[in-house]
Amino acid sequence: MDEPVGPSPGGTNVEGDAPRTEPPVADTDDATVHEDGVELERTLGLSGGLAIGVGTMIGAGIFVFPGLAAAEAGPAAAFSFALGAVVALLVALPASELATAMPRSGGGYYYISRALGTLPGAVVGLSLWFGLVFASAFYLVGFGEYAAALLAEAGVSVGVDPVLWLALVAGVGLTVLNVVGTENAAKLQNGVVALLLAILVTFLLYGGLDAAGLVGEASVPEEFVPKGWFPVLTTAALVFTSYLGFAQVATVAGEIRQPGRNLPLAMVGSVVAVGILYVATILVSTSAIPSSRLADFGETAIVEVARSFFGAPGALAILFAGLLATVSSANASILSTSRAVYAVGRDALLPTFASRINLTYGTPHVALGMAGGPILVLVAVGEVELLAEVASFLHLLVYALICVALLVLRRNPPDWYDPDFRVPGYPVVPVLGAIASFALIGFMNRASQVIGLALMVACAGWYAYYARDVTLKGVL
Amino acid sequence: MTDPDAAFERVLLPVRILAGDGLSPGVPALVGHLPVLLLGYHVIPEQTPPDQARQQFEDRAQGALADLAAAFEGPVETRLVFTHDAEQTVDRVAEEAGVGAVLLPNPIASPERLLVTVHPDVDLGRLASVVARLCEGRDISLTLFAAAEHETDLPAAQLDAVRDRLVDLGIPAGAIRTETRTGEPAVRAIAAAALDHDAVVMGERAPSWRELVFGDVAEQVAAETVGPVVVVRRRD
Repeated sequence: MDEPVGPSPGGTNVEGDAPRTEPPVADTDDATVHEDGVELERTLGLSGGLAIGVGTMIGAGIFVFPGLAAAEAGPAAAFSFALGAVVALLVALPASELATAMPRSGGGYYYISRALGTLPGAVVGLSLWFGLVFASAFYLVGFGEYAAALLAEAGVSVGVDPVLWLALVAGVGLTVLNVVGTENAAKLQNGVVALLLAILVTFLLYGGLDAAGLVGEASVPEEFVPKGWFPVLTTAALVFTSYLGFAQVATVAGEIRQPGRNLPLAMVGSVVAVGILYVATILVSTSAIPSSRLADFGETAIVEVARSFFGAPGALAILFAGLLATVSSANASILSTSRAVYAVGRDALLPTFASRINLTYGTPHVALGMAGGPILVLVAVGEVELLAEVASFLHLLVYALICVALLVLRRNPPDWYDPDFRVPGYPVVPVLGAIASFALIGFMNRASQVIGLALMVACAGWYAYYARDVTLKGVL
Repeated sequence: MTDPDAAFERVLLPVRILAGDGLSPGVPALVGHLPVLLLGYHVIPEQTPPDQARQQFEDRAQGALADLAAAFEGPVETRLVFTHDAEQTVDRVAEEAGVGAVLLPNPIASPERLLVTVHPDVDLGRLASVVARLCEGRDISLTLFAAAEHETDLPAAQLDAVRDRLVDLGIPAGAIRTETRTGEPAVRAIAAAALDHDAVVMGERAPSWRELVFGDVAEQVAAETVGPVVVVRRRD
């Protein structure tokens, strides 16, 4: 699929740098070809894309939220997760179309800056970075909880509150590991995801049989919607962090083989797969343990559910799975921050030194360091629900704008706009996606909304100072 | 006599540009008279999108590639690829460019003696063709080599066939000798025989489970021997 060369982006930022996007000569299924015989190899297959999507999402939805969600809405939290999946799908479909039209690394930021212009692009690009920083901190705290639970299980007691320190150590460790650059990190990630899925499916199958009364002891079913329907909606806003992974696939769109086919499959497929898993998890968990007791167990509630099915070995298996899941989600988010910095820096919205990679390890050490500091600070704050909601807020903003970007591009398509995948149900799907994303934001806590809004304003301020003269709209 | 295998004669030379790997002077001497595709590649970790590496390193890499290309007298085409997976890149470029042989570069001073390994699983016609082209008009002595567990497993018929073919293609019969070894694992036998030679020419084996588990035979040989290994690709 040859792409015609579009107009080049214009303008310069305060330091005099211009956006550096030379459109490639051609995009093939296996490589992107630039001028002078330079090629960029595409190395990720469909399984790699799915692993990224599923691997990023599965940490939160199953291992952190069930206790918190049940506390808010009882068993009807299953509806919250289902609602989240629907919203995610309404966004994943337009995102897939945009991704196949512009299979470049950069994801949501790229589509929005090209469709809507530099100011929305700058706000989105930088907000996305903040959103990933908050999400990374959230996953690291989750990891801390699981590591602490493991220590408690093993009977080891530490003098100080272990959660904070374990999370901080993990944060530092992951950042260092990424700066040093790990061989075969992707294969490791795929293996971790496969193992997780195996553990979870076993757990859920047994739990399903138990809930249906076929195995285990009989239990009294509790009221399905004990707190009414409004909390179902607010809980949906809280747990939407569980669905933040599908768009991550778009950030590696430049490296996926056969992007026209694999991008939509990976994005939509990962949302559907994890959505089913989440709903099943809530149903199984609340049928095994009443939601009020589940709420008392907090972030590691799922461990107790496993204990009730399988005893101590079950609890250990889930503890182990929880460690794997939270670490892999944290890792994926930290990696995404450096790609987000690169995508924005390439367009001259950030100083060039932010995207530097070193020759020793080949890694973007500056961007990784820039994320590491704030992540550790947020981990110290430790308010899991606040972290999750701010992360969701910023991501939902991007998702709403992705839908708007699709509508704008479809109304007035530039010559180079030729997606391999077109959204079914246009224009209903993107319109609903935008409305649903904004609506979910409305259901969040006041504190999260204020913080999110403040960060957005800060990003706009940076744009006004640094890159007011850069034009990105409509250019490849 | 026209050689039906002469269609694909290009040699692919993959080089880890930016890793400080140069090309020893013997390599242009060995393959310089053939059309060469010089593939400079740079492997980047998964943390880094290839485009980011391109932006930062393209100029330097192109410069290094141009320096290497200048060492060749004949026509040299160059390509530069930033990749996470070197093997995929080499295979893809070899496929797209239709190259006949891939050279795994190791140090070599001057090509005077080549070890040609013969195995029933390889494309012997093409092997002979590439060897003939390598030796064309130069004073190079060849050793046809085969290794097996037992005497009876040695591919005697194939050795003779390759020898005859080479003579037909113009190699003086006196420049060809035959050597065999038994009782040793193939890679070690080849490596031992290669001690007296400047480079090894092997055919690409058909994919087998042994290769999946133990790795490419040619790469193993390249790791064990000092000199370069020319791998003649199978025709599809």
